[in-house]
Amino acid sequence: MLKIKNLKKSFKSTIACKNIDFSVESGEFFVLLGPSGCGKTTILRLIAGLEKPDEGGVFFNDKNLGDISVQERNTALVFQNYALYPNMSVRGNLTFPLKMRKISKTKTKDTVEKIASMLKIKNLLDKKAVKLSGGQQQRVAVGRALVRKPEIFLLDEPLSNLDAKLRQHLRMELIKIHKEMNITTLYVTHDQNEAMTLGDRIAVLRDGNIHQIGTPEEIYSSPVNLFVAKFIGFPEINLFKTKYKPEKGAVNILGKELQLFEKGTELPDNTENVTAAVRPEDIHISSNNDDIEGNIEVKEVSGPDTVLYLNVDGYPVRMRVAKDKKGLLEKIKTNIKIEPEKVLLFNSKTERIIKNENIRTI
Amino acid sequence: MKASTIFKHLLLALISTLFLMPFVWIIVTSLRGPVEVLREHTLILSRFRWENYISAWRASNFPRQFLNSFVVGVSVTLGQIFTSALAGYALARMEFKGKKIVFMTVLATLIIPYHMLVVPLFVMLARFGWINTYRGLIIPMLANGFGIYLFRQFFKKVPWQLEEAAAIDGASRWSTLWRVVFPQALPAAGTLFIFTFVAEWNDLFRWLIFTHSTEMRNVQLGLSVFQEQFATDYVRLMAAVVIVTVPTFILFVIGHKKLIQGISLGGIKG
Repeated sequence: MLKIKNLKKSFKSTIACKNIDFSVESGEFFVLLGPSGCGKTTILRLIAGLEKPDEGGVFFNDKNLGDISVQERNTALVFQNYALYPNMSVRGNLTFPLKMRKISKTKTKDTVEKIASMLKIKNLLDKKAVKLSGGQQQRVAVGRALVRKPEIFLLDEPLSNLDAKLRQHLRMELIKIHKEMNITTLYVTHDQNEAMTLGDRIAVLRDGNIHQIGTPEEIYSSPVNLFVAKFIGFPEINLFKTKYKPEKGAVNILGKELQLFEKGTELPDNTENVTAAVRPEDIHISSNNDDIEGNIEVKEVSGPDTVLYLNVDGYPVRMRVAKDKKGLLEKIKTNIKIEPEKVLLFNSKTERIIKNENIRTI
Repeated sequence: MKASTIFKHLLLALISTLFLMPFVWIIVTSLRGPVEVLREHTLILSRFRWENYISAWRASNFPRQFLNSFVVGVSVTLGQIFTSALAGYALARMEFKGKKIVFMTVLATLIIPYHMLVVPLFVMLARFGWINTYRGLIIPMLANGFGIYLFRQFFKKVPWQLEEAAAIDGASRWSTLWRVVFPQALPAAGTLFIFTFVAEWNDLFRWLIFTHSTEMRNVQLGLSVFQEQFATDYVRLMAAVVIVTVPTFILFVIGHKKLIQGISLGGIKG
């Protein structure tokens, strides 16, 4: 098991990351997700030993890696720009880590051939690595990392330089490879889509802090704060700043009262200013004329479903509906309904989710 | 073809002729007879006297002097590449106290003419007993400010990730330098090889002062046997000049592409 304990690192006066605490089970695929500059790459570099932490440490199977040099840590890292050795062939690149570990020539040859056929680059072995296409270079980089069977496999935005289709394809390949080799994997990305599809668990970071750790489902359905709620999901979650009325157990959203709790329910600390958050798929088209009415401004048809951008009295609303809604695409106006049990409530001041076991939804 | 292109080609042809003329003259002279050389002032030869070359080769201890020039030239050149790469790497990639001062000092050595160092160097070598030895000719030449500067510039442009990748792959800093970083600076190494080797091959001054026996002299000093106080054997001198120029000529033919690459790349970034 990989344990990260209270890690802190700053560069001059900027703090890259602090209070980083998490553990990765052996064989787990763990994703560090966050916008650029959130410190996720720094964490990866600290684990690889390329940076020294100011505080805290990295432990693997209860062994402190702090005193172990980069060369001796059994970690492998795939760089965003691949960092293949330009003067070497693909074979040279794949052989290098084994040569440095003084593995016998015959064993090296076998291992290299095996990993090359797994990654489908066997026919490229004698080409110069830098002459390959992006996708092929990517495979070589992954191959070079895996060829010596590392205990910890680190990937720093490995797919971000590729086009969308190739990215999708290699994502699936990475999942397959991970299943096959079962190596503890840490994957850094700013792409929530990648994080959701790849990760067994995800850590969401911002400004050098971890905001939430959880499975993709947990992070999507119960974000701990507004940042996580906004960062995950496309189109972005709908946020409505409003006031909670305890006597009615309700909030006012888009001019309509929406009852969330039993009448008389008080929120913890008697919170009054709340932000109600609703995922686009939790807003539905309604045939009831009494429901909220909005103008459809933009329709984005994307295969199985359609994203609608509405204007409700000057307020933007994003919703996702099934494609086959009758006559939807011709409509200019529509009535919409929000599912009360799907509404997430955040404290507007602290931006944290309001959660209390005493609160019962109806 | 456009008129401007024709003009350009004519101009280039003219300049090339100007540069090639002395070489052609040397070759023509080397094939003349001893009397003819003083009479004829054209490029026309009545007879090709190839035997001049054999005679020139036998006139002095040329085989031994070729060996001397090669041993010293190659040792100094490879040694300079080695030390320049090490120092250049340190100045490009390592953090240490006084790095700027060291770099400035290295650059400052470029403005000191070699001739100024000759007397103190001679005194030192004489005390070591290194006069008229290979050691005395090679060791004082093993560091070169220009080479250090050239490698520093090249190494600065090698992406950090390559070194980090090598470290993660298990390579020490030493093997990272020679296996990953140095190959990125091959144009620099090529440039330095040609510059240094040609300079060493053509050097006369240092050998004149630091050697005294015919066995320890180099090819350039060997040429002086054809020059006597009252007469110069032009024919054999020119034949010997051709022989002596061949190695550097071959080196240029092989390496001129790398040389141009090295000079132009080295100059881009400060």
